[in-house]
Amino acid sequence: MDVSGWTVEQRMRLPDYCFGNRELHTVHAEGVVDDTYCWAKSEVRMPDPMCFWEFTFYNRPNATGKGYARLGLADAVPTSVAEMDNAVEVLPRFAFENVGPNRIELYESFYTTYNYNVRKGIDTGGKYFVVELYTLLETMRFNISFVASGLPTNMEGWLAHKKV
Amino acid sequence: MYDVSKWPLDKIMQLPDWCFGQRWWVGTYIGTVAATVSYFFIEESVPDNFVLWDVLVAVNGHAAGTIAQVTFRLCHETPVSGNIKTMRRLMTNMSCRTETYDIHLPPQSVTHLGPMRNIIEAGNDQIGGAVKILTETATVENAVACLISGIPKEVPDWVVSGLAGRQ
Repeated sequence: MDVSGWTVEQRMRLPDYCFGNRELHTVHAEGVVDDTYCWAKSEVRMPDPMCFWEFTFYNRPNATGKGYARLGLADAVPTSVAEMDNAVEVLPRFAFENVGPNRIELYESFYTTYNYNVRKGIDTGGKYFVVELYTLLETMRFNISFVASGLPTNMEGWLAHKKV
Repeated sequence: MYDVSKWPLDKIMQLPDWCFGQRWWVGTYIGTVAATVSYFFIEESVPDNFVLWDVLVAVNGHAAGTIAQVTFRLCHETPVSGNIKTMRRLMTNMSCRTETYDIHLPPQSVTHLGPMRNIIEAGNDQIGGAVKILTETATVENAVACLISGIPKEVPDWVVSGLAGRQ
């Protein structure tokens, strides 16, 4: 049964297993100088549309490090704050207030790991997943891992044409 | 039972989770090794095609300003520095593919990467890899493990005969 014409919203109501393969992606950024920005992108372009299932990020300051990270979608690695501002927001309502799109504060905590469940359908336009890391005080390493899949385009009738 | 052994993998991956049956952890203890790189090889054989549901990495670095770097590979023997870069990565969407390591973690942590639902075409290979804790000079102990299952070859008839959702 062809469900490729269904909207993202409709396909997101299908059972989890209809989405098939879910793969882990990572993006790694290292800020090795104080008060600098660095940017990185995912290894591959994202499926379009994609299901963003969950993400985890790992913050590794040297000692009393502090900074922030931002998430987005773009066609290439951003090279400036302005370019990151223009990246497509992945989680538009996620940001702290007044601090820019998709910004996540990384406080003065060692080895912080944050994990978020999501399950969100996103029109990615086939862009890369990009991150911005800002290091306020010192060397900081930042890694984000996330689980993504495409959305179902075709599946067995028994999955959809009954009363599922 | 309904034979799904000829189904393509992407179609099999659309079956409900429970059709994949038992999952089991395969892993290995890595230690005690001081500094440098610790190569590992998980002794258990894995199916030719298997589903990777979860990955666990436990690292125990103590050095200041350090970070744990990890890579998982498909291989048939314990990797060494000379061949690890030529071994297939277990997960192919990881950042820094031009480098040896593709997972970067806090140095003292037990981390689950996932949960995922990733079909792996291992062929005759098993799971190995390497762990490196930057600037670590002390003896440390680490461990890695993967939660895997095979893929279904058959499912109950009613799974594919339309019973799902019927009143």
